[in-house]
Amino acid sequence: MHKINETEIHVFIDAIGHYFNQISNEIAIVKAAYLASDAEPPPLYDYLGTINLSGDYQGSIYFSAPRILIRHLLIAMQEPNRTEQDFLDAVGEIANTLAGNARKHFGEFMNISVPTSTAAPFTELQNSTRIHPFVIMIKWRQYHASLVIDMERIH
Amino acid sequence: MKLMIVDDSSIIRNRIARISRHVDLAKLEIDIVGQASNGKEAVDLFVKAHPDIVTMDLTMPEMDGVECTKALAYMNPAVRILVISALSDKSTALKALKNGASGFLYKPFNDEQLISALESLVN
Amino acid sequence: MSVSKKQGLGKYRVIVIAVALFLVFDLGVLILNFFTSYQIGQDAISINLAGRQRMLSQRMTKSLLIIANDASAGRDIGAGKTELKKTVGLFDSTLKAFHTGGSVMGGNDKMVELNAITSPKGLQILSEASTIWQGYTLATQPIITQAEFTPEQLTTAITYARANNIKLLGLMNGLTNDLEKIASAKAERLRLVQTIGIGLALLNFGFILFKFIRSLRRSDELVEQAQQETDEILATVKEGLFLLDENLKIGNQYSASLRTILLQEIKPGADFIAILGSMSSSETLVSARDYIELLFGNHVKENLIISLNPLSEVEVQLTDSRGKSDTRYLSFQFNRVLVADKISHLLVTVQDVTERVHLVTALADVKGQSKVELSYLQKILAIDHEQMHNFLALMETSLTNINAALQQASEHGGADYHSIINKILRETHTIKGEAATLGLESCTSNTHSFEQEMIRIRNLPHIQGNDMVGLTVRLDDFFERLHLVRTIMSSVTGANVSTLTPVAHASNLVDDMQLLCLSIASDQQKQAKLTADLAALPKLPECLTKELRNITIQLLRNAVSHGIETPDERILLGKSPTGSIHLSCKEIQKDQFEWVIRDDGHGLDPERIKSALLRNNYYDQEALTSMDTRSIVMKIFEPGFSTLTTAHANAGHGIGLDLILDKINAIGGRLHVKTRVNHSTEFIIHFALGRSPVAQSS
Repeated sequence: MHKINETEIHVFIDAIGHYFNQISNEIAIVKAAYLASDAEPPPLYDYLGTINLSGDYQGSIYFSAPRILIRHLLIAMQEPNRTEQDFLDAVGEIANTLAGNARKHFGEFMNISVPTSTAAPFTELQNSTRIHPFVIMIKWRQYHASLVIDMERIH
Repeated sequence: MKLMIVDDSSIIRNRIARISRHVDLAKLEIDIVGQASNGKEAVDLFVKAHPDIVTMDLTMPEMDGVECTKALAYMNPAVRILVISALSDKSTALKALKNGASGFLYKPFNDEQLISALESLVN
Repeated sequence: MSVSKKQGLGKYRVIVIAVALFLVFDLGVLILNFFTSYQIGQDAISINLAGRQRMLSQRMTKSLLIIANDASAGRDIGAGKTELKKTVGLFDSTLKAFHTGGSVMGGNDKMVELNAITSPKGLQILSEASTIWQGYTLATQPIITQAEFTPEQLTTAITYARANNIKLLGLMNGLTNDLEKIASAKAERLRLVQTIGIGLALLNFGFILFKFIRSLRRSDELVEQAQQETDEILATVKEGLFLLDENLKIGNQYSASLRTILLQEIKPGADFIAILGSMSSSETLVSARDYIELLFGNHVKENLIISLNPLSEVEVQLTDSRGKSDTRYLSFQFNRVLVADKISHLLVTVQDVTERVHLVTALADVKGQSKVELSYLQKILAIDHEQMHNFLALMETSLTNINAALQQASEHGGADYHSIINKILRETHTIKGEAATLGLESCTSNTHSFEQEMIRIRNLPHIQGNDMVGLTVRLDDFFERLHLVRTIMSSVTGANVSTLTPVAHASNLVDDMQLLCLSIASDQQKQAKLTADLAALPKLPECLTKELRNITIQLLRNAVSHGIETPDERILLGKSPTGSIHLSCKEIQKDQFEWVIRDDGHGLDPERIKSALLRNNYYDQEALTSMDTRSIVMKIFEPGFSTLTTAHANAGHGIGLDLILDKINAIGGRLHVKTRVNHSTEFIIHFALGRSPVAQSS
């Protein structure tokens, strides 16, 4: 089992920063980074996009954001529709883009699933792969979102 | 120019559609003839709508973008396909190009990037 | 394309005009030649006929004399008459033609065109000749026309002929001469014109030659210069440059760097794929071939696939001439070269990006390493289990506190990263101190490097959330080590280590401190010995002992690092080379305790503290001069203070003393400092049992 290193965490952080910058010309900054645990599960907001990993990696990448953040993002995209489905779609697309972008670093043998999007209330995140999943708190405009990196390389 | 948009995210489809109507692309006279949310839908729509250009996502349910590109290029070798994907490993994208796509654009993209990619695709 | 055509004409315009002029001159001379030749031909006829008139004038006289002779001899005069008639007729028609121009019987019995005489002298001769000729025709008329003529008539004719014969001859001679003169003038003019024409043509030719050679030479020079420049560029450019044709063969010209970058001889026409194959993996080769073929195809758009270049940072195995193999990273960039809108070649730019890649991976390695050294494990197993349990419990608490501090950043509106870092630093300092007392060098050095990273961040002008990411990864490392050590220990002892409650071990305190003292001193090339009198220690509750232990660790660290001088310094000061540190615990009144740690080092020097405060911009000179010595000395307990200019594992980070103050406050104690320069420093802590918040809570 290989640990994930700081550079690899930054791969995701850079991807999310780039994502918001591309869409809105405003970067998303890292507000905080810490470790989640059973006692302290990762913070989740109104919507959650999940990408499951397979191949050389196992685990999941989560992106969770409050409704207001997604609303602003849809406005930045000039998306006229703002149905519940669009909110779910957006959060899934972000998770998918982050995971896809990360393949530049992790390679094509990090298989990524089609995104799954869910809305609150959530049941707890499925059993985590890591003892301490990485929680990266993002701030874009004045809103917070969370990026949870719970992945391990298996060969 | 008849354009077909293939992406599993409706938001992305809407965004591509909106950008394709940008004034800088007016000379291309882009007419959106169809939007598909997976490869299978895209193939069905392709037969009916005969698009000249296609934007193609790679990670999609049902039939993925590489397979779909292959099918479309087989049906009409002259079609110009722009792959738009977040998959940043080179081999998957090269696979799509070998199977008939003409260009590649990374997600996330901004308006200017898509505009210039569509211009390059048609020229 | 149209532009280059225009330029082409421009370049050759002068030459084209010159050649055209040459042709015009030559043609002009030729036409003139034709024209004049014709005229000279005409003149020749005139001269000829004028000469014939001369002869005819003599023959007429001769015919008259023959007639006269034959008549007097009684012979037939028919032949003479016919001759005279013919001669006179010919002379007459020729003379008329000279006057008016017209056809005349030529020398060979053919009719020729004769031009009228136009020169004044010729005209004058003609008019004189005409006057004489009139008389002549009148005199000869009867002889020619009448069958029978009188001898008188013949005599008159002969007399006239004799009288005028010479005159007429002279006139006709004059005419001939005049015509000849005119013709010769014309010939002269023609020659002149020809000479000038040919001269001009020659001049022009010379010009063309000069111009042409010069521009040829200049273009040769330009080509040569361009070639030289290309050669120079190719010889000096850092990047490997070459052209690749459709068969993936390398072109004739490539930069000199290519050999040094690829570490092999490159021959023109060499197979690029073979070269690449000799140094990289087969998957790379397949992708590279795909990519290059895509670029040669018209199907894909070059600028839409640049991001997919599989050789933009490719790992290769290069073997040098001595057979030494080395892993390098190369970057190949491909650009289409279009000739007449067709892709003729790819321009390939090769760079060695190994250093850049190494820098990135080295960074990743440093940040991502998660190895537990074997010696570390051996150390762990050698440590008393109970002590280890305590340490692990302390470590877990500290790590959890650190994580909580990191999490805080996300909760508050504006995160105070500075205070978060300070909080984390205090926690790590506790871990470091404990690890050092247990002799866990690896843990100490890891904590130390963690601290250094935090110091680095603390000194950043603007701390950002992004800077916390590395700390999180390191924290995860610590958690993992903790987990690993517990797993190992539980497998060795069979007990679940994490559930054991921490126990402070007073009896070991002196041993531990002596060990720590020796270890810190030897780290700093110093000598120090710790003595202790802890008679009152058993009266203290264990939770208090634990806090005192932490405080003592920091104070001891401080005493050795800042108090004790190097052996050389001590000898110079007249002290024993080995510094002594004394630790004592006394009950001074009922439940009133005094905890002292004293060293015989150089004491707290207010001047040194002042200059350190100034150096670190804590206070300005003005503020410092207004402070009393005691206030200045107490500044050493402010967060971030250090008198050392460089940090080492034991001191210099400016953390520690502020932590001590925190801890002393936590047990409800009071700190006093006694110091004498070059003599000693004493840290005295007064505390009471029953008043300590720590004691109460437990």
